Amino acid sequence: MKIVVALLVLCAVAHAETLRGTVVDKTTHKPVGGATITIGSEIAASSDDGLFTVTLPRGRYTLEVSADWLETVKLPVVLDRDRDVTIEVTEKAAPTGETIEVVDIAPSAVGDIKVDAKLARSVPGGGDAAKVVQSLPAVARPSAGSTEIVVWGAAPRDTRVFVDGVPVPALYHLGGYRSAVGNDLIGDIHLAPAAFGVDRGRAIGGVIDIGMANPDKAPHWRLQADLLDGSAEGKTQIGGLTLAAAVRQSWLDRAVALVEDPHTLAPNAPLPRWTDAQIVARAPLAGDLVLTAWALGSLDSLDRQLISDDPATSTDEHVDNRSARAQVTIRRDRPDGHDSVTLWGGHDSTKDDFQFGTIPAHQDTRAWVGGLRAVQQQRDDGMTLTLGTDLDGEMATYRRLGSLTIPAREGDLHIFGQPPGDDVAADTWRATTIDAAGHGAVDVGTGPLTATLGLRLDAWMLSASRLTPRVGTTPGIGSQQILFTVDPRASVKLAISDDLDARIDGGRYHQARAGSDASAVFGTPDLGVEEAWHVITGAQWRHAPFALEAAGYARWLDDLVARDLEVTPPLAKVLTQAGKGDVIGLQITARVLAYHGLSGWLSYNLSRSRRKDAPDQAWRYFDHDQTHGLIAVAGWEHGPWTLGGRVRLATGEPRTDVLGAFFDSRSGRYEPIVGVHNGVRLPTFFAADLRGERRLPEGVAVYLEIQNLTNRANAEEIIYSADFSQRGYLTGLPLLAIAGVRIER
Amino acid sequence: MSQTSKRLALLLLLTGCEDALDQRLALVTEPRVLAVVSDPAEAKPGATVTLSALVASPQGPLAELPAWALCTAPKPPTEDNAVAPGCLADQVVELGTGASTTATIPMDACTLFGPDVPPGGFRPRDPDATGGFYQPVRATTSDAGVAFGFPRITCNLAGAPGDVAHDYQTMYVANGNPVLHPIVLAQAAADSDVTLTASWDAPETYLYYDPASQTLVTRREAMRVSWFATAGTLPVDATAVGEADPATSASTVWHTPATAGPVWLWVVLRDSRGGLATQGISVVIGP
Repeated sequence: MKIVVALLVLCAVAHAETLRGTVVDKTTHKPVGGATITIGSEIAASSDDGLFTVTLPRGRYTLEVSADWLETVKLPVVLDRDRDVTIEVTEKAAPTGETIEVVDIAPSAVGDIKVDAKLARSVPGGGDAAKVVQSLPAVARPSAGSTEIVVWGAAPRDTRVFVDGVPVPALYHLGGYRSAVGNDLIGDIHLAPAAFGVDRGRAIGGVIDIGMANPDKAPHWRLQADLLDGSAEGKTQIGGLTLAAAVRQSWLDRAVALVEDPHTLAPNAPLPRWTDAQIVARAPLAGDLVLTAWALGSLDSLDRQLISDDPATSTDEHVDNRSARAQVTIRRDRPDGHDSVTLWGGHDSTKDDFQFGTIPAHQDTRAWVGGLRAVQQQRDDGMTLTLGTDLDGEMATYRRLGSLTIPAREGDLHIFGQPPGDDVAADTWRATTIDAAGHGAVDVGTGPLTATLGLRLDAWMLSASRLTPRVGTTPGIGSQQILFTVDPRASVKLAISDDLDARIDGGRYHQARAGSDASAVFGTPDLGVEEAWHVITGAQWRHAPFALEAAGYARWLDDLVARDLEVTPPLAKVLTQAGKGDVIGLQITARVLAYHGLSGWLSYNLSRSRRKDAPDQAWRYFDHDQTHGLIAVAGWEHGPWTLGGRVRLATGEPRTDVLGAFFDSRSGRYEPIVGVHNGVRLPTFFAADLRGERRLPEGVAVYLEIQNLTNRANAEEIIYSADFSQRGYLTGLPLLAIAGVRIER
Repeated sequence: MSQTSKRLALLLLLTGCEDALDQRLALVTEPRVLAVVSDPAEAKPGATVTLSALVASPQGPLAELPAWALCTAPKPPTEDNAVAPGCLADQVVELGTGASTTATIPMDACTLFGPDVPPGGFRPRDPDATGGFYQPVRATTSDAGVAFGFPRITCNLAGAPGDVAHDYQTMYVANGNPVLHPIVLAQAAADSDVTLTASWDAPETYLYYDPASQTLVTRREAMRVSWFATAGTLPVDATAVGEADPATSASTVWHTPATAGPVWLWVVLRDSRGGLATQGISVVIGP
């Protein structure tokens, strides 16, 4: 019997043909992902590029393409040989005026995840779509109030944030309460934690891509208000041009003032102020051309005073950050590919005046940034070729006064509560960073095997205004270097069955030194580029609406900028590129999308991230290493209700233990005697958060979010008594409830 | 910006809870070193200084005989502590045991702890906010732990224009210890408020090399008074008088204990260039 079955299977396989299809929007010709394709006994889902592949015996079939938001399309197919087919689909009219962008439950690479904004807003995070990044698999648990994003053991600076391919300096406002790129006009959020493609560069960690929504799909207007801030959004049509704009203003500091004098209620708690605004435009041009443009602006400020019983430990800080970006894109979608050109520019300024007792630290940065991206993709006979250019430049001026160790770097040995170094230096310098890249990738497939082979070539121009510190009016000699890097990147996917794929992705990555490290006094002017190798291997099983994936990943980091640990470092070389790092890990993720209104993921991550700052140094844990990370996120929509929940369990971050103390007679304070660098850990973190929203008539919705539902006192820092003889924990926020209202039409 | 976020994140945590830890140093509940005084406060390499330690206990001054040692380990620029780890270990020159000691500032002190660098293009050390460099001297006590005193070292300017460096060398006046006027308080009533006032001679002015403008400016020393008591309560650990303030006194209110008996107070006056003056006061608390 087994032999007969085997023979029958062999016969079926011998006469099987492959149907390769592309699902595209009938109006825009853009690829449509997440659609369900049913043909014969086979069911498939279209990928982000709208592609699908099924293998069936020869015969006549009816192919059906459907999804909750699409008009179902059926067409007859005669499968007498391998065939390619393009199916045009039309979206259903959305009754609420908001169209949900549902994306594929298992995007291209293992570890990648893409979340639409509507699901993201249902997850606890204050209803702010981009806050979902902190809840994604592969992202480490952030410290309370932190804006830093740690992806698979990579330093925050190593992961780049893009909005529609345009780099932005920060994803979150000061304090981490809200995203700096707005909320109302966000379309989707995509995280590639490693081994991303050749179209993205200048990052050796991960890539976060925020997609701005099509303004056609935004509500006509929306108002929202809660404890933290208020926002407004509106849309208008001018001929063929659709324009949507949004603005948000915080009032948390004023809300606290209504209840109590902020200085008495929380004398040590800073209350930042933030504002952000976005405007998005879209207009079809002649033929298949579409023009999209947007402008983003973000303002942050903070004033805080930490009063102490000893003026030597009082703190005074004033922070002012401003950022603006704008871009224009022209895109043409063709049945066999697309072409696009993006021109972007912006300005960033940061000002931080800090005083710890009599120890000053001031930093002032102003930067002009800009770039050009162009991509052409061509699909032909089962092969896809993508070519592109990517030009990115930054010209910045820096001013800095204070200690070498303010601001601290990853790897600095510092104890919470320890006074900063009281040495004082000053410098003003300019740094320019230009990267011109060309990239190409070809996707080829044969049978169950699909491969993407890509190459990125970067030409870097790095300059600094002075090679040595300024002495009087002696003219300085600047530094300029031109470097070339070659980054091969590849992925190979084996379709084991219709539902099961195995994959391996990898490649080489580079990023330039930060301009802030190019000071002849505080850094090293002629630093170059840092390097990493990534590899991810794993398997994805997907059977709509479920998906399961397991990934093993590794990063090897080289030429990392690190402190020179010598007692007397060379002049203008307090930073070296002798740092190294490695990350290894395993991640298992289960996902569900729109299953009876339920979407979400459950993910477990096991990893180790290490660094060493010089070849003769011992390995130490990365400052944000988290061995175990478990996160469960769910959003459920049922009638007028939307419920969201999040549960997180994570290993505590490493810290350096204090073994004793000595008295410093000059300052009159005690200073710690430390143990092994990052040799102990904070206790395990656990939190459960819940969010509920009820939609009422006339477009009104009310919501309540409760963070830290179990009111657990999670340790965020080890703290010490003044003489370091006693220790305890500084815990994060207790149970916090945020209520709000939203009105939209 | 990310490091600013890190500092802000740490401060946001303070809206949460912290275990009750004693952050105050004003009450002397166990033997402690309150000050290590160097006389003179500043010296050139090759000159001698005399160091003494003020050691306090809940019963009053402690007649400790510290073991003294001169540190020879320079600290890297990235070290936030006042001394290198080697100063706590064996990278020292022993000076003997005694209530006080005399130390000669090493001839290479400006190289080890100051801005002088060996030939070959090395980075000069950065001074503190008053332009100063210091020689660490360790005092190890049997009951009151380890303390470091820091006589200021007179060194040349590094990285300054030639004319500025010359002017600094000829015009700079070494720091002297501040002069603390005696506080007279022999007795006080129990459970009452007593105003303590520390006063001093006018703070010194000094020449300071501003690294931002690379010019010499004249500044006035800032002063800071630390208050200590063996009983009762003090509202603050220290009171500061900034360099823009010409005041020559500072006050605080000491709430005396409810029980009668002897109590000790100490006042430690620090100037911003490392100079110190101390006074101990024995007070009898009456009913």
